[in-house]
Amino acid sequence: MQLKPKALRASPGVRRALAAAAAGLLASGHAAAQDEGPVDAPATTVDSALLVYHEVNRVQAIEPEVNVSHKIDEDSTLNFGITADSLTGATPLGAVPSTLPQTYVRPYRVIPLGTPVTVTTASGGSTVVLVPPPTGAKTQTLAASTIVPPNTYPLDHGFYDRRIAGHLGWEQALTQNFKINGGIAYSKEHDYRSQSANLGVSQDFNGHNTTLSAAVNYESDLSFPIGGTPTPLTQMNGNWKGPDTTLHEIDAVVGITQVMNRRWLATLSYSYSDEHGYQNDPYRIISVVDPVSGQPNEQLYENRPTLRRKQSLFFDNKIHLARDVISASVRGFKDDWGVKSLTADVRYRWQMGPDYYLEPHVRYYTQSAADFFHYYLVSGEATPQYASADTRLAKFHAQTYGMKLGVAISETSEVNLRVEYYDQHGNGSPVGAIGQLQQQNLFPDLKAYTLLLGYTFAF
Amino acid sequence: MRIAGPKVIQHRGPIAWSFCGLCVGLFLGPIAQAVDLDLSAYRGKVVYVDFWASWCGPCRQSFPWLDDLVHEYMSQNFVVIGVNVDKDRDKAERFLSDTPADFPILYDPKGELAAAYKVAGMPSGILIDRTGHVRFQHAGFSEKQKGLYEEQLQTLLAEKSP
Amino acid sequence: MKNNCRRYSPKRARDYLTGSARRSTARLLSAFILGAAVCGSGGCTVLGAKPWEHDLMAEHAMQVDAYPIEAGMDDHIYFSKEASSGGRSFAGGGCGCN
Repeated sequence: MQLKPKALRASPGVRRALAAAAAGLLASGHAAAQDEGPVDAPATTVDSALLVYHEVNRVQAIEPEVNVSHKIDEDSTLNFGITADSLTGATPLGAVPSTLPQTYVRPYRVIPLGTPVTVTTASGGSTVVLVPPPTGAKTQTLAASTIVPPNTYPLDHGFYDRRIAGHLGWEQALTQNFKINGGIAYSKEHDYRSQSANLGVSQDFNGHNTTLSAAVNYESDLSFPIGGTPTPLTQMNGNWKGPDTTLHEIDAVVGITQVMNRRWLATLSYSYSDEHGYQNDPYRIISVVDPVSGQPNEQLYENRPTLRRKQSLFFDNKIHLARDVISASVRGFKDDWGVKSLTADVRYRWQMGPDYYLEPHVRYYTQSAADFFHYYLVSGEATPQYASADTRLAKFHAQTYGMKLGVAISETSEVNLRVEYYDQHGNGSPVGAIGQLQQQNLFPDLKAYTLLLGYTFAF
Repeated sequence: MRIAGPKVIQHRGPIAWSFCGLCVGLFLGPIAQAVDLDLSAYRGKVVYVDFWASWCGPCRQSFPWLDDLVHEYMSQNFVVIGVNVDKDRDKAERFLSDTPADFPILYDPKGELAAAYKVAGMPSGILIDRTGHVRFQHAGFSEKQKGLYEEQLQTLLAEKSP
Repeated sequence: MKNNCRRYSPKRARDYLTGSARRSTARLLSAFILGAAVCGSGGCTVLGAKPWEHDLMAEHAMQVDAYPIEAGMDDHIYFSKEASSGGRSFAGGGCGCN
C-alpha cells in the first residue's frame, strides 16, 4: 500500500513518514505500557514564598505567603492566597536632624480616665507619658515619648506592626477567546484595614497572538490609629482626637499583549487610578525651623491633598533566546501631586541546564518630588495648605541589583532563592539649607536587602 | 474588534482540486481554504488527522479520546494519524511515553504540513472522508466539543466507500 | 596628525525623558499600539507566530504571570519606599491552545 507522493509535494521527510504511516506501521511513539493512563496536567498549583526584608538601620520584615490556583474544569480556575507579615524597626519621623536633642511623642495606648498607669516604657526605648486629656473626655492617652539624639536623623524606633491579608479570585473562559475574572482582597493591620474587589475581561484575537485585557479595582481603606487621627498642621502633642478616616480608590488597567514572533512577547498597559480620602501618614511630622539658626521650633503633623490621580504606562518584553530568556520593562508614571517617575527593569534568565537557572536582575528608578514635599518649613513663612517631609515623596533615584537561583525538582515543581540589594539616593544637602541644616544630612541613603525563598509545586 | 476567523470550518459537499507542492489551492471553498492531502492509500477509509505538540495541554486530554475512537471505529475503516509539530523530537517522545497513542505518528517539525492545512489552533483535527476530501476541520479540543466531533465522524462513517 | 576622534558624551538618564529621545520613544510606542490594534482586528499576519509555533510561548519562563508572588512582593516593597505604584496587566501570551 504505497502512498503516491505525486499529489503531495511535501518535503522528502514528510513523504517518507506518510508512506510509513500508510503502511499501517505504528510509529515509534506507540508506548508499550498501554495499561497506564495518560498523565493529566496538574489541576492545582501551590506557590509559596518566604520574604526576609532588612533595611539598614530601619525596618525589618518577615513575610510568608501561600497562593493556590486550582483548575475546577477546563474553563474555570479558582485562586486564593494568604499572607502575613511582621514589621519591626525604625521609620523616619519626617523631622529634620538638629545639633540639639529633640523629643517625639506618639499615642501608645488609650485608657479610661482615672486608670492607674503601670507601664513606663514602650517599644524602641521610648518612655510612656500621660497626655493631659481634653476637658470632658472619658479616656486619656498614654503616649510613647522618644528622645532623638543630636545630629542623628530622627527615627521612631518603636515601629511595630503585624499584617494579615488574603485574596480570593475566579477566572472563567466564556468562549475560546473570551475570559472574565473577578476577585476580592482583604488586609488588616493594627491601625489600618483595606478591602477591595476587582473585575476584569480579556479577549484574544489573531489565533491567540493578540490579547486585549481590561480590569477595574475598587478599594476601600480605613485608617484608625490609636487615639484617633491627628489634626493636620497642628503642633505634635500625642493627643489625637480626629475621627477614623477612610480612603477610597478606583483603579482601571487596559492592556494589549502581543506575540511579536515565535520568540518575543510584548505587553503594553495603561493604568489610571483615582484616590479620594485620607492620604496622610498620621505618624509623620514636618519641622518648622528658625529662619536663621535652622533649629526646629515646632513639629507639625503633615497634610496631603485628599484627592490623587495617578497614571502609568508600562511596556514589558520577554524574549526567548536559544535557551535563555530576557525580560525587559519600562514604566512611566505621573500623578497630580507632581510626582513623575521612570522605572527600567531587566532580567536575564540564564538557563544553565534543563533543571536550573541563574537570573541576574537590575532595576533603575528615578522620581521627581511631589509639589507639596518640603524638607522643612520655615517660621514666619505662611504655612502651606499641604506639606509633607516624607522622603517617599521626594526627588531621588534608586538602583536594585539582584540574583536569583532556580532549581526544578520535578516536572511540576521548583525551588528558588532570590537575593536583592536596593539603594536609594536622595539629595541630603538641598540648596538653600538654613543654618545648622547645612551640616546635616537631610536625606540619608536608604539601603535594603531582600531574601526571597520560593517553592512552587503542582498536583 | 473583529474576531479573526471561524474556529470550526465545515466543508459541505466535495471539494476537489489538485495540490501542487506546498502551495495553497487557488480555489476558495465556500467557507475557507483547505488542502487535499493525497491519501490515496487510505481511499475508502475515514481519516482523522490530528495536529498535536508536547507543549499543548489540551492535546494531553485529547489523546485518550482519540485512542477510544480508534478502538471503537476501527472496524468501520477509520484511522487516526497524529502529526507532531514539536521542533524538538525528544519532547514529543517523552510526551508519548506518558500519554500513549494507539495511532501512527508523523513528525512535521518544520510545520510544512500544518501550514499546508492552514492549522488555525492547537490541537487541530481534520476529518477526511472516504473519497479523500477534507470535510471538517476544527481547532481546539475540549470536553464540550467531543460530542460534536464524534457526530461529524459518524456522518462520514455512514457514507459508503466509493 | 589631525585628531579625528569624536568626543563621546554619554547621555544622562534625565536626558532620555526629554526632547528627541522622548519623541522617538513616543513614536515607537505608537507604532506598537497601532501594529497590535491592526493585527488584533485580523488585519495582518506580520505580527505573531503560527499556532504550531507557540512552543516557546508555552514555556513557564515566558508566562506574564510566571512568578506571581515574587511580582506581588516586589510591587509591595517598592510601594513602601517609592511614590509610584503598579501599572501592569496579566493576560495573554502562553501556548495559545483552544
